[in-house]
Amino acid sequence: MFNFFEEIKKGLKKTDNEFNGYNIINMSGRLVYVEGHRGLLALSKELVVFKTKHKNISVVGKDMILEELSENTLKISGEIQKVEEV
Amino acid sequence: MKTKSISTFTIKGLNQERILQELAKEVMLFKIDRIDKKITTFCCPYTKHKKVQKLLRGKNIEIVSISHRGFLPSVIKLCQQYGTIAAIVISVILYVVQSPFVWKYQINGADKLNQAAVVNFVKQNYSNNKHKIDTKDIEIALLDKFEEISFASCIIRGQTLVINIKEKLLPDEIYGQFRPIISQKNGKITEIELISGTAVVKVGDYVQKGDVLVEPYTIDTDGKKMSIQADANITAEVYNTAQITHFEKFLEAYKTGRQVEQTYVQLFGLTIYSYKPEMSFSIFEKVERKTSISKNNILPLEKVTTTYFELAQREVESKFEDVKEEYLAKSREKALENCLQHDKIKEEYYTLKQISGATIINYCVVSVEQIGETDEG
Repeated sequence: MFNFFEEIKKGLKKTDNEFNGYNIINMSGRLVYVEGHRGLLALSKELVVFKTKHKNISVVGKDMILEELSENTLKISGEIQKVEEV
Repeated sequence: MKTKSISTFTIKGLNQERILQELAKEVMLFKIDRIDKKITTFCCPYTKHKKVQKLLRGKNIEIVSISHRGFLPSVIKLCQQYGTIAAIVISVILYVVQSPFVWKYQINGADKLNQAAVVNFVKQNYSNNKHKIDTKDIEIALLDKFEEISFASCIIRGQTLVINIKEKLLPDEIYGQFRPIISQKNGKITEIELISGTAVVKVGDYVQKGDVLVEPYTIDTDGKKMSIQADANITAEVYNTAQITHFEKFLEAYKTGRQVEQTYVQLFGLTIYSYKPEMSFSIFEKVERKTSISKNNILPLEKVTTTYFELAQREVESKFEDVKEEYLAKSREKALENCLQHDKIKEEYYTLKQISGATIINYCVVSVEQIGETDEG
């Protein structure tokens, strides 16, 4: 089955070990898709923080809603200002 | 109507991130919106809403509201609404259809008369349509048909035809119910005055409680067995015995004078006030008193006072010879408790048996009594 992230890694000849086990896509500052998260740490309209394998990631924005949450994926919609490691 | 069936939960509580993550392990959640620090709304597939409720239970989270939307909940809601309406309509139809009929027959006062025979007679001869039943007719017919009935009255109550019967006082022979005479006690037969039936014991026989004394039949000159009411006056010597034991050394409990009183106030059996000072007696006697506080029935307040008296034990020594008369009187009294006719005491005796540290007194009162009684089945 086609996997977007695997294809990119393959194209760049990178191995899984070089990554921290999570993938994030920011789509036009309106939607953030995350896979490989390890749990939600904070949730508000302005800030969403979640755990990954080694680090915590925060998404800062306005009027954010967690569109979807499953065991290891999540989608955040709203006005995304920045995504950073904390 | 949206086709995707989803349930929307509004929850209130602390540490919601952890709860949401735990839920997300089991169920896909979407549209998670943090309204404020304590309130969050989220959606899940309608088919999983019960699972989510179950997972939230016991997690210190309050479910403020649950709403459903989509095709499946709408169908279920409609089914429930129309199901209720359909059930009401069917019930009304069934009620209207079956209400003119008598479905149950209740016979009161028929002790010896066969109730089934009365019910069958009424069912066979009268319609079960309430409008066609003439209760006066049934009453007259019952009096004509059953000679055991001295009075009958019928009423229709709801869908039950109630038939009240008063039976004539006829001898048991009419009903073919013959019962033997049974011994009520253990004893030795001294006299038999047979009125009817066949005696199966003779003077001098020892009988036990429950033995048959007179059978309900006679044998005629042709050797044919004929059922008849058993009747006889049977007298026997009855042995009423009692046993008590005297101990040379025994522990006697006595009150030390110390006591503790605990008080409760109860309303409808529920304790609404209690005063319970500590009670540390190892051996005690408990006395409970209930008194009504209010004199009306509106608030039936009751005060329950429990008094604990402390007891102590001491060893008492007593020689049998010193208390012999007292113990004999006690054992005699105990033996007489089983004796019905004190005025016909024929003989009294006792035996003493000495064992280590104790004396057993066996007292026997021999009385002359009527012991036969008709077995009531």
